[in-house]
This record gives sequence, structure tokens and C-alpha cells, in this order.
Amino acid sequence: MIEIARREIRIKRGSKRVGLIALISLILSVLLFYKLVTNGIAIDKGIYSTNVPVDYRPFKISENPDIIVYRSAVYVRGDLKGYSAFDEFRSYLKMEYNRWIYEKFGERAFPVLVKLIKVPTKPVKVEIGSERVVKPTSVTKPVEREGKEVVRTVKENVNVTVGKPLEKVVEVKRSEYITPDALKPPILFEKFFYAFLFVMPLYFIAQTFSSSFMEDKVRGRFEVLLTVLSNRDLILGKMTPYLILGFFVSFAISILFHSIVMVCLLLSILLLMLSLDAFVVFLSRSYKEMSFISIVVTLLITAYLFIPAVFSFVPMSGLSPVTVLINIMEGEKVGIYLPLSIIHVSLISLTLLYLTSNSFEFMHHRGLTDKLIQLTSKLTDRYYKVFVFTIASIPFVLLFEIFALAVLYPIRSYVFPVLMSLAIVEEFFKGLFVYSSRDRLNPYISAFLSAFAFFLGEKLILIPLIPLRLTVLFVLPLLAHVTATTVFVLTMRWGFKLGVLTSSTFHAIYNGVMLWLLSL
Amino acid sequence: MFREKTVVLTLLLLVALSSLSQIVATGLVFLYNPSFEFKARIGLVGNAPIFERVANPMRFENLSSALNGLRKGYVDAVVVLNENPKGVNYVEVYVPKEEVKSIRVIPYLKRVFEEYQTVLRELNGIPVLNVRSYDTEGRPISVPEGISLKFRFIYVVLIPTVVVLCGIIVGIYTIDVLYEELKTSEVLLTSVGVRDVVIGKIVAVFTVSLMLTLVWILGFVANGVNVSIASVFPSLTFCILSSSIAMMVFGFSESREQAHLIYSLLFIPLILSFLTFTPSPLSLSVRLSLGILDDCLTFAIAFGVVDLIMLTTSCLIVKGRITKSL
Repeated sequence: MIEIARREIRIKRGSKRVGLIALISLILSVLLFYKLVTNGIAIDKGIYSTNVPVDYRPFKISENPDIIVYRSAVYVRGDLKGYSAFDEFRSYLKMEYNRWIYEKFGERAFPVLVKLIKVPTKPVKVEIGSERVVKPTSVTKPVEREGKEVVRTVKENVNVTVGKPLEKVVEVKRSEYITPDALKPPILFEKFFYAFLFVMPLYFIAQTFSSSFMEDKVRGRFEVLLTVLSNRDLILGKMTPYLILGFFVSFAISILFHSIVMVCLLLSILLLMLSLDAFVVFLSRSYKEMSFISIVVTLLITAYLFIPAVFSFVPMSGLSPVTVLINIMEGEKVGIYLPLSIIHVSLISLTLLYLTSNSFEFMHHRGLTDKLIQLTSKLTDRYYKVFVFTIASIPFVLLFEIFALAVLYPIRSYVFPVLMSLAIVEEFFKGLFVYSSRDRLNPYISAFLSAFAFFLGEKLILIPLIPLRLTVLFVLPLLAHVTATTVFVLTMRWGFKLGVLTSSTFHAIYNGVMLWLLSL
Repeated sequence: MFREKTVVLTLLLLVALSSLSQIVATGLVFLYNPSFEFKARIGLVGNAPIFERVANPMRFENLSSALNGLRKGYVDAVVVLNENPKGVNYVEVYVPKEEVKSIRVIPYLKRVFEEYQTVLRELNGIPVLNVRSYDTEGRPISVPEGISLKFRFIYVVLIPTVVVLCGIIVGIYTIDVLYEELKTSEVLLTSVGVRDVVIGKIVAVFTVSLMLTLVWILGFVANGVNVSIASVFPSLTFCILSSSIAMMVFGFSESREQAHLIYSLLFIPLILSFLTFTPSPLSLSVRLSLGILDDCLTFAIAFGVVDLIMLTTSCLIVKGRITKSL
């Protein structure tokens, strides 16, 4: 393994030309990035139009404007662009107005300064002080003492930011007060951008790894290396230099944020990318195919990792390392989600690595489905393996379901094609392990185990979201899963694809009926 | 062409991307739009008669009981304020730490405090800004605050991202196709000339670029986004530019692996420069997708000429490389 890692480093160290290009690219990127951060993204220049000059980059004068400014009124064209133009024009006016009244009236122009203090509202074990909860009442007597105390404290420690656009700070001490205009919900765009920036180097590391791995495959180096090495050692040896490089990148980022756990999060993401790319190499017949499948998979995994971070208030979103990463950048406590996110992603990676390490003998076979069937046939020689592999396939099923839903989003009003696509994804994975083990294991027992495993894995995810009294309703989905896999077993003799098609049709009809019943 | 797995995958990828982005855009608007209908219950600690008139809050004896009320869900925010109508009012506002609650409460508080600020300004003789909006018929309309968020997300973030993605796909495709060709060039060149091979590759790259562009435009249109057909031009321009760079990289690289790496290294500063400086193919893609044609023609011609020069140069380089490898 160490020898393979050394060889990989030796090959990559190679060309001086690449080193020079990398250096120039790095310098240029840093300079451009600095300009981008200081001046902002320039591509929104002139996207809106008015009839009067506005000293704001998105606006320009036009004969057919989105908004017409006439005296103190604004006339808006009734489409999204017109409304957006007015919305941004209004923000611009507020900014200018704030600047003007600040110059004219000073601090008095901002009679309200707000300081937001966030308090946890989840159930707390310890009551504040010894006071009981007072239900809201219409008490009219003012609370002079405490109120005065608050104002006095505030005046001693104030650091006023008069609206974001004005950016004038009246320096006093520690706390920060803002004008009501500057109040905004915790939009995660900035943190999101930084998280993407930190994950981006990992994409390039993974891309270099996949190119190298594919090169070995197409040049037939695997066959030679496997005569002296085990499959596992070969994969780990190939990956080690990239993991070390990823460690240095992650370590530098973690120093920036004074949080060593960021190394673990970033490395878990890198491990996922490397293992996915290794599996993609197994699936691909040629370099070209690998590049394209890799792009699709990278997009999918980006969506899988980053979309939960946009909706980070949903508890399950903590399962994504990117959500946890953003929370750490925010200085928030991440608790149980730190190990959970790392374990979840690492489990997917290890499953993929296990599959890839067993796939070398089928690497050059034709056909995606055939390759997968041959690989899973090799692995499913015991009943418990059918069960375990089906459960392990659930994250992949979810990934493909997200992809299918996204593709079908424009036709979402046609329920059956959507249900059918989701059913095909599920039945493909369930049927795969049953079909692969059909020569060695009883297909009906495998079908039951596969259905039960899928049901269990699927519902384990849902249990935290569903009230306990409703868990009895789970009997029906279990029966549906078992029936669908039985339909698969009955029809698989005419081929895997036909089996999947018939069981998926049953599954989709069941889901459709359930939806119809629920809508009644 | 559709028997090719890679082409089908790419088409699905673009449709999925446009749909996924629409889902995210809808989610963002739903969550972060300040005009989203939500009336928060505000608790007040202190003496603030004007604020009470504006916000109609629930009164609490002291901060501890108000915070307990916040924790128990009786109120959505607690305001600590002892009003000073003639001076500056420093207000402490306690909001739930959980982000989903903050997202709903803060926009409401913003509206309330802006209204409160207006009342106090009027009281102190400070001129108040009042922007009135009307439709083109002259009827008063109310434009939701923050509506530009979705617009910007689609036209300034998403469409340039898709254009860049198409460029990357075409660039990688070019490198792969040329290296595949290099393996079989000896056999191929017995029946056709190098020039024909290069022209064939250009036609293939152009077809793929056009197809990708049409698919992403259709993807957006299917998701209910208005995209002008004029945006075909910047997308194609960018794809051809990316492909030309890939061809040049092919000419100077030693292996496919190295070509991919060099292409990635060149692509990062290129994208950053297109985002930083305007006009660029990306700024053109934003404006043309919105149907803004007025001053785009000059830039479009300029980028077309640059593309042509790049393409011609890269073709010569590719021709040289294939000839050299024989």
C-alpha cells in the first residue's frame, strides 16, 4: 500500500510546466478573488432600467424602462423584473435617504436602534431564577426600575451601526446596535459561499484522483498491480496521497476558524468524493464516460451536501457535514450532529470502497446493469448480506430519488410518472440483491429480507418525524414492500429489467392509491 | 446520438439542475421573503406608549418572566424598551435562537420597528421617506419587499452557473474526444486528412454545445422561468471559448490526465475574471437571458470575433499535435 502511495506521489510530482501553470493560476485567482470580494460580482450591471439616472450598478437608463420615476411616485411594469427593479430601487432610495438624514440630523435621525439577542427556546431543564412563568397579561403599570437599568447599561456599551448601507459607526464600546432597516433574517448565503469555497479544493483533489484511477484502468495497470497487491491495498494506496493533500488543505482551513474538528468534516467529504469517483471509474467504460458520469455524480453529491445547509433549521439537515461546517463557522454548538454527519458520510464512503475493491474483475465488462449484477452476485452469498446491503443502499436510493424528482419537477402535476420513477429507483435496488443471489439463496426469503430491510431503513429515517401512535400505519407499507418484491421474484425469470418494471408498476399503483385515499 | 450514455446523462443533468434550482429558489422565497404573511406576538418589558400603539404588544412584569414566556411560546419576541420620544431609543430584542423561528419573526419585527421609527421621526420633525408605487395604469400597488431575491437568484446566480457548467462539460468533452482520436489517428488518417478530422471535431463540439444550450433553456422554460432565446448566443460563445482552451491544452499537454489538470487550472481564473469584469460572456448571458438587447450587439460581435480567433488558433495547434503524433 505504501509503495503504491509513493508511486502515485512520484507520478504527480512530475511536470514543471504543470507546477508553473498551477502557480500562475493560484496568484491570478487570489488577485481576482480579492477584487471580487472588494468590488462585488459585476455581472448584474444594467439588469434593471429606469427613465432617470440612478447611481447604482444594476440600473441604467432606457427608453423602455422597468420603472418610471416621476416626481415622488414610481410606476412599475407588472412583471417579476419590474417588481424586482422597484424593490431594489426602493432599497437604494432608503440607503440614500439614510445617508442624507444622517448628515443633516446626526444620530437624532435614527431614533430607534435595535440589538438582537438570540435565546434558545427549546425546552430547558433549569428555570431562569426562581420565578414562575407569567402568562401574558394586560399589565399597564410601567416597569420603571428594570427599564431604566437597561437603558443605562446600553448607553455605556453601545456601538451603533446606522443601517448597513450607511456603514457609519458611532464608536462606543462592545455591543452592536443596528437601525431597523438593517434587520434581516439569518440568511445563509455568505456562509454558504464560504463553505463552497472551502469544499471546492476537494473537488479538484477528487478530480485528479479519478483521472489517475481511470488512467490506471484504461492502461491495464490494475491487472499488473493486482498480481502483487490485494484489492484493498491497491485502492487505499492510490487514495492515500490525496487524503494527505486533503488533510493539509483541511488543516489550513481549520486553523483559520480555530476549530480542529473541521479537519474531520472536510476529510469525510473528501473521502466521500474519492470513493464515489473510484466507483464511477468502475462503472465507466471509457475516459469520456467517466468524465460525464463524474460530473453528474458531483452535482448530485453537491446537492446532497449543500441543499440541507440552505434549510439548516430542519433537524435532519445536520446529517450533512456542510450544515455542521457552516454552524461551526457561525460559532454555534453542533452537538450530536458532528459525529452523526461524519459517521453517515463515512458509512456511504466505506460501502462504496467495499464495492469498488470487489469490482476489479468486472471492471472491463460491458453494460452498467450487468456489471452491478455481477458485483452484487459476488457479495450476496448469505441471507444476512442481502439484508445488510439493502439497508446500505438506502442513501443511494435517496440520492437517485432526489435526481429523479428534480428531472420530473416540470411535470410534477402528472402524479403517475413521478410515482413510477420513484418506484423504479426503489425496486431496482431491492431487486438487485434478490436477483444477484437467486442461484445460491431462496429468492422468496431474499425478497422478504430485502423488503423488510428497505422498510426498516426507510422508516427509521421517518420515525423521528412521525407521532408514535401512528406507527401502526407502518404495517401497510411493509406489506406493500413484501408484495412488490414477491412480484419481482415471480417475474424475474423473464429478465431483471422486466422484474423491476412489474414490481415498480405495482409499487407505483399502491403509492397512487394511498395518495388518493389520503386526499379524500 | 441519444444512444450515447454520456449525452443522455448530460441532458438529464441540465434538466435536473434547472429544476433543483427552482425548488431551492421557491424554498428561499418562501422562507426569507420579508413580506411573507406572519404576525408575530411581541412581548414588551418597559414603558413605551408609542411603541405599544404601533405594535400592540403583550406586557410583562420583568425580563425573566418575558423570557420564560418566549420559551413557552406565549410570545415570539421580547422587546425591552423604555421609550424616550425625543432622543435615541436603544431597544433590546430577544428572539428565538432556532433559525426557522428567527426567519419568520425578524422580518415582522423589521416592519414594526420601521413603522415605529417613522412615527418617532415625524414627532421630531425629521422628513420621512415615502415611496409610492403605481402600476402603468396609475393604480396604487404594493410591491412585496425582498421580491428581487428570487429574480436575482435565477438570473444572476443560476443562469451564469448553468452557462459555466455547459462550458466545463464541453471543455472536458473536447479533451476526451481528441485523446480518443489520438489513439486511432493512424488508422483514421489513412482514409481522411488531418484537416477533415479537426473539422469533424469542431462540428461535433458545436453540436454538443448547441444541444446543451437548448436543453438548459428548455429546462428553465419548463420550470416557468422566462428566458429569452437570445441567451443561446452567450452560452454558445462560452462553450466555444471553453472548447478552444481545451483544444489548446490538448496541443501542449503530455497526457489526458495532465490536460484535465491544466484545463481546470486555467478555468478557475478565467471564471473569476468573467465575474469580476464586465462586459464578459457571463454578464452578456445575464442580460440576454432577460431579453436586454440594446447595447449587447457590439459586445456580442466582439466576443464572436474573439471566439473565432481562439478557435482558428486552437485548430492549428490540434492539427500540429495530431500530425506530430503520427
